[in-house]
This record gives sequence, C-alpha cells and structure tokens, in this order.
Amino acid sequence: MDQLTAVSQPQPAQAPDEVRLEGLRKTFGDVVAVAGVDLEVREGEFFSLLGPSGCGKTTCLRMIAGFEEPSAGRIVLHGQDVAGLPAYERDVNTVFQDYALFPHMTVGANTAVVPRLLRWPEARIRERVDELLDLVGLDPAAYRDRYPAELSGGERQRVGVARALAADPPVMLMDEPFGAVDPIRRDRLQNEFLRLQARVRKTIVFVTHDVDEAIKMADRIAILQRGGVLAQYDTPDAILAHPANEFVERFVGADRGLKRLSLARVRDLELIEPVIVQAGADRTDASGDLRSSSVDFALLVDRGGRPLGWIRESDLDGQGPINPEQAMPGANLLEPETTLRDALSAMLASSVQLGVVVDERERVLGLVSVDQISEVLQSGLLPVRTDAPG
Amino acid sequence: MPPGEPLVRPDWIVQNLDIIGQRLAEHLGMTATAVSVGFLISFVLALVIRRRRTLTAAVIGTAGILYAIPSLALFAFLIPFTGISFLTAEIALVSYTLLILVRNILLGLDSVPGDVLEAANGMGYTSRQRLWRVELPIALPIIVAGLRIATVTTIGLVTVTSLIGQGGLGYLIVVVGINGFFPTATYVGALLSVALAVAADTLLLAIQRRLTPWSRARGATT
Repeated sequence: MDQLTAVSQPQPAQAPDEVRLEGLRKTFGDVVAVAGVDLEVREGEFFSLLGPSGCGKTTCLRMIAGFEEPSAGRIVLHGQDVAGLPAYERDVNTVFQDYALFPHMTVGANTAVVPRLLRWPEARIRERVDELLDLVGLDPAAYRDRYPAELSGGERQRVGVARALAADPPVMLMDEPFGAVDPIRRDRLQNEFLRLQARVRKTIVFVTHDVDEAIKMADRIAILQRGGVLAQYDTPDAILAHPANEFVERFVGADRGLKRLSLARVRDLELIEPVIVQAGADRTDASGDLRSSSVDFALLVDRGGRPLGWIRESDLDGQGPINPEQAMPGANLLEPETTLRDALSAMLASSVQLGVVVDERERVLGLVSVDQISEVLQSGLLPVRTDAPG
Repeated sequence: MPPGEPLVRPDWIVQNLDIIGQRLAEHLGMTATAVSVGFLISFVLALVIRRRRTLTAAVIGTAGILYAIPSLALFAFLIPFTGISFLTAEIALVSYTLLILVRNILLGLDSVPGDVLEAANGMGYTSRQRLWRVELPIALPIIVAGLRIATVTTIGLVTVTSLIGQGGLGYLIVVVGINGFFPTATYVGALLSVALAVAADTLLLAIQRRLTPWSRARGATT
C-alpha cells in the first residue's frame, strides 16, 4: 500500500489487529484458568484486561508474553501465529508487576539490557538510555548510575517502562503496572503514562483489577470473570452503560453511573448562555435579560470578565445600579477539561447548582447545570469519548 | 611441661621467624587449595542440581555425611589409598567444605526472584548469559557468605592435619608445642591461626562489598 495514503487516513477503527486471541485456553491440572478467550487488540490501542483476582487475566498476559504455553487456542501477534516462539522473539515487552528490575545493575544498565544484547554500538546505547530516561521523566544525569534499591516505587516503575521501551517493541504488556505505588502517586503515574502513551503510541495490553484504573486508562476493556470466562469486551462507556451480565454489573459497582461521568468532560456538553452583569450596571436591563433566559441567576463579573458571584432575580427588583454586595459568592469555576463527575460534585456542594466554565484566564465561556448532567446519564451513550484521555 | 619453662619465650619467636612464616604460608596454601577445589566441585554440583532437582537430597545428604565424619576417622579411611600425604589432607579438607558451599550456592541462585528470571528470558538472554550476567551476580552475596564460613572452618581444620604430617600452623601447635612440651609454639600457632581466619574473613567480605555495590545501595525515598 502507498505509505502516504496510509498516513493520511488515520482510522483507528480499521487499524489492523496487533494482538489476536482465538479460543485461548489454559488449564493447570483440573483447574481452568482461561476458558477459551477470543479478542482482538488494535494497533495503538490501550487495552485493559480487567477482573477480580483468579480470573485468569495475568495468565492471559503471560501467554501473550510467551511465559506460559496455551493449552489450546491461538495467539496471533501482528499477523503471525506465535505458538512455540520464545518470549524474546515475540516483538512484545513486559513491564512486570513489581518491575523485576535487575538489582545488581544501575538504572542505565537496566535500560540498556536489550540494546546490549542486540549489540548496538556503545555510543548509540548511551544516547538511547538518556533519551528513554528523559521520556519517562527521570533526569539521566541524576538517575543513570543509581541502583534500583536507591529508588522509590514510582521511580522503579518508570525504569521498568523505560527498559521495556528500549528496543521499541510495537506491543507492551503490563501486569498491574501501577499496583505497587500508593494511591496518590498512582494517579500521577497514570496521568504521566497517558501523556507518554500519547507520544509513543504503543499497543498496550495491561492487566488490572482496579475498575477505575481501567476506565481511566483504557480505550477498550475486556472483563474476565472467575474461571477465565470473558464476560464483556467493549469501550469503558459501553460497559458502564450496558453491563452484559450480573457479574459485570456487580464488578463495575453500583456507582457505575457516576463512573461514566468521569469519562466525559465539560467541553463535551453544550454550554448554557449566561446572563452576565457587571457591578454598577442598570438593574432593569439585567432583570429583563434574566427573565428571557433559561437560568435563574445572573453572573456578576469584574471588569476583566472574571466571575465574582451570583445575583438573584429578586435582587434586581427596583431601580438603580447593581450592588455587588448582594451577590452570593462562590461561583463554581470549571475548566473545559474537568470531568463531568468532578463538575457534578462541585455543583452539588454549593447553593447555586450551576457551574461556570472558564478559560485559562478565568474568562467566562458558558454555564453547565446539574440537569444537563443528569440528562447525559439518562440518555444512551456519552456525548463523545474524548480524544486523548488525561 | 619442663619445670621452669616460661609460657612464652620471645627469644624463640624472634629466632624462628622463618620457620613460623613458612608454616603460616603452608597453612594459607592448604586452605586456599581446599576452598578453591571445594568451590569448583560445589559449583558444578549446584548447577547439576539446578537442572535436576531430584538430585538435591542425594547430593546434600552425601555432603552432610562427609561433613559429619570425624576428621581422624576420615584420615584413617584414606591412608590405605593415598598414604600420609598432602593429598590425604586435602581430600579431607575439601570434603568438609562441600556441604556449606553447595548449600549456599543453591540458596544464592534460588534467591533470584522469579520475575527477574522471566524478565531476563523475555529480553533475550540465553540461559548461559542469564547465569553469568544475572543469576550469579545476584547470588554473589550469599555465595560469598558460604565461602567465608568454609574458609574459616578450613583454617581451623588444617591444624588437625598435623597428625598426618601436614598441618601448617598445626605443626607448631601440635608437634612442636604439645608433643615437644613447648607452650610458646602452641601459643604462636594458635594465635596466628585465629589471626589468619579473621584476616581471610575480612578480606572476603571486602571483596564481596567491592563486587556488589548494589547490595548496600539503600535509602529509597518510599
């Protein structure tokens, strides 16, 4: 195919399957770990294998990696059946749960393992190591010569990612990659990893038991249930909106409606036109505007257009200039990137259940209401699945 | 002890420094030979066991029996075959190192985490590369710990071989000191033997620290 045409038609839905599992099955003695799983992971996709412990998700990943032989079924990587192919010949690389760094090698040497085995020239290896450490957010000069034991959990995780990226494998397999870090750092690492992924565009298959993590990170999710049965396999929104069975419904949680709201952002809503008034403006004009509008409050802004508070319709009775003292303080400022979940929670906590969407200089772009969000929940699927998550 | 003989006669020590030095060197040589040969045999045995785990009990059991045989009895068994010789002494000394060394080499290799081994496989190390570049370096602190015990034990045991005409410092302790009713020689031999053990232990530890800077790298921020 003409390369230019390929580049000019980015159609993720038609991207070739990078990883395909066909009736993949694994038994250990009488115990069925994976019971015939069929699924496809597309090129450049962030794919999550999600499920409770003992659902066979890690076993699936290990079979793709080549650490475990399937009892039945096929694994096709990039169009090639990899049966019997050793792990290192599979064009995949694995980031292990606790990173499995080589404790006796420095960060630099750990990162350089695969390039060294491939006998790259030493100068190119050094260059690549620095580039990779930079990419994962570790200053090469400060970290290159340190040993894994001298690093925090988060730093080790990054070295694990850098090492897996070293030979530029098209597919990265990750086993609970954020499991060994505390929740606050995990959130930061996840965001960092999403930014990294936006740059490197690998096909990623990652295993997790954390529903929120899968929803946040993955383009598509395969939910496995006990006994290695594939329960559902779809986008996060579709899974939350229409759980395939009772297990999925229970597993994603009673708050799946709220969870869906973290998938969409304020910018995906159609903003409500606000009634904007400035201190000292005439009451009658404002009162007229407010009556003809769908909102119940006028938004008081300063001279620079930054929101100060809300003015009730009753405060606009009579004549004369608007008194800024009458404003109810506490307008909820939302950014276009705010998730609907955060927006809802901010609005519910204040007396005026409207959110003011502002740009980075705090100028008003429009309003959102609690009603709008509840409509989103009742309608079928979310407005859009936003481009690059995070 | 003849009456009037003092416990220590410094003049004898000064006059016989060359003999003392010679015996010290002999002691060191016998120890080094026994530990080196013992290590080579143990290393091969450990690698064989790693391939075939079913052999573990047999190898460790045999090494344990050898370890339990009293040294005098072992000499008595060996003399008909190898005579009163350096070889007899070394066979005994080597056999006493095997249990400690095989066990520690195995322990060391088994201490390498399973996912580290998988990572090594996944990255394309051959099994030989993996052994030399990943497993042995990680096992090194435990292997050296075994070497230190074996070395200190052997330094003590060498003195016993004086009974079959060898013995290093044991010659001073037993033949000159005890048999010759001359306590000075016993003291000199015993002190030097202890000093040698401490020195060898310290040296091995220093070498291990030098080779494994990572094992002391601590102080992670999380």
